[in-house]
Amino acid sequence: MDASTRRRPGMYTLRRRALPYFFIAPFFIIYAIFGLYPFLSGINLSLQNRGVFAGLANYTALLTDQRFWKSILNASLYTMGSVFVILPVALIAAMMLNSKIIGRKSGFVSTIFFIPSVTSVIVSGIIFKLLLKTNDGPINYLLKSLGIISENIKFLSDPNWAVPSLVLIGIWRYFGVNSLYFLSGLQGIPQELGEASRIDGANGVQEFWHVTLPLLKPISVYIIFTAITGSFSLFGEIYTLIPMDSSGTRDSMLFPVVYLYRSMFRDNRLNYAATMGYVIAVILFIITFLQRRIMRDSE
Amino acid sequence: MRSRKIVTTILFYLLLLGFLVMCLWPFFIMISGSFKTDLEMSRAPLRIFPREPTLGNYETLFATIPFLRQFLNSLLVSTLAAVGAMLFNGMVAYGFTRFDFKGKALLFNLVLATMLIPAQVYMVPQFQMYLSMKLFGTYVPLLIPSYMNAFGIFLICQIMRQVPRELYESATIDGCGEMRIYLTIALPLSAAGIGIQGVLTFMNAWNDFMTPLIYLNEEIKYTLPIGLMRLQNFYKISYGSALGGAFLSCLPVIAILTLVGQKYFVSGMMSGAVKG
Repeated sequence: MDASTRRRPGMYTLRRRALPYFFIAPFFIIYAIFGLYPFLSGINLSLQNRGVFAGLANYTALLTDQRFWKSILNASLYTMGSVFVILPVALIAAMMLNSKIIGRKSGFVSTIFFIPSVTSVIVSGIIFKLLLKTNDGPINYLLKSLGIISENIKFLSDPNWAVPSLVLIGIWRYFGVNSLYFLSGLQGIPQELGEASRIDGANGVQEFWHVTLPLLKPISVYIIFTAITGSFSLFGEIYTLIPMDSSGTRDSMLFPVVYLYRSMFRDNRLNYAATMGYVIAVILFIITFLQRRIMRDSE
Repeated sequence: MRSRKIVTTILFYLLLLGFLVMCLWPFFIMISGSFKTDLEMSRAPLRIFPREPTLGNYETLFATIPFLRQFLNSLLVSTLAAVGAMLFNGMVAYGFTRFDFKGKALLFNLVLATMLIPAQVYMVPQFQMYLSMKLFGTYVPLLIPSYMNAFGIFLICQIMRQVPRELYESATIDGCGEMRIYLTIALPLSAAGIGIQGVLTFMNAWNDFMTPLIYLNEEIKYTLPIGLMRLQNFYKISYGSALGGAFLSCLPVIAILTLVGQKYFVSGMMSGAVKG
């Protein structure tokens, strides 16, 4: 009797103490098996070559691999495209959604803006492969009948057009979701601030530059971060737009993940592909670190 | 002053019209293309209403790939991903918001830290691991990422934090077990946040391309994006059938979007993303 009364509260507090860990356990168990373990075993893979320890040989080979740097260059160009083309378009759309003129229709319009963002890469790939066709492609046909161009543009096979074409698809697919991000930032800006600046004699441009833009900074840091990681993960678009084993004319559509995937499944260079994963991660870290640094300094 | 206002309004609507056309025109091309013959598609690429509408593309589509089966596969995978994500990520978020315990801050930061590792890192070693676990060719590799979604956990935490603590306490006094409190109080009261997490997971799984491309090896197991990719590669001549497949495959997500409403969506995605 005595022993059991002593044990019962003991068991009870023990169970109460263990309870939180029981609830959070699923994440840690699943991550340990399917995240942490591969993360570590991948490092091991990157230090081997066909089962034999190779030290940093894969890393030195990768860092001197011209094609790898070409893929990084392409991803960087695409990043520039998303930051300086896609995001400004999204910001304009967001400001329209936030304006007084559109009023109540804002919800309906933003749903339409959002639709392209919820289609899969394969759907946008299939549509744009048709739209961007050189001969009889609707876009070329349209530009030609409007007299804007005289020669058809080889959107997908001209190396100079490769990244711009991908950015074009990116505008369609990603401006909507980003404009909604910007919109949520704009809605957080108190109306009085704009009014105050107008009373102080600021015009629309000045108000945008000195009031709106600085206040959008927190959300912009997040949006640009997503744009960068997205640019370096580009895969499905390319896989559907160009023939399966190709990387575009003169590697103009060779992107980091495309190269990784091909090294792994077509060239059977497992260790090399594993190494690539870590190097891409480090490059991404550096870029996002710089991004945060720059955005903080410009305050 | 007034005329200036009218001009601004007109310019505004012109720009808006431009945006709407840009958004919807590719969809119109897709839908009308799926009812066009190949000949008409190349002769009159801009014509929206086909002169001789045909269902031939859809016949080709259904005859070439097991479309319905792949549609159901996609439905199964996306549902399992969404339900599991709500259950597991919800549980973890509950653990972090309901209790104070040793190492809580550290463990929560560990969860968040996993977001910093880009997916590219895992590609090769995970593939090896799934091969040796004999899980290649199953749906397990497609589901797991949703079950350890740190961002999802973070978002659900933000919502659950708004549940008043007194509710939990009075339930404890009434003698409710923690699991029951989780199921009957925490879950229903944060249903909005968890639900949107479920919807987002569903859509991501529905649209996922790379994971099924790597792990599925039989046509009968393919999810829709992979089925469509194969169709597109095999039938370069009859492009209309690929367009038809693409059209049918994006109907469910568009339906969900219009039902749930984008406002709800964005609030789900954004609750917390900004404050950090």
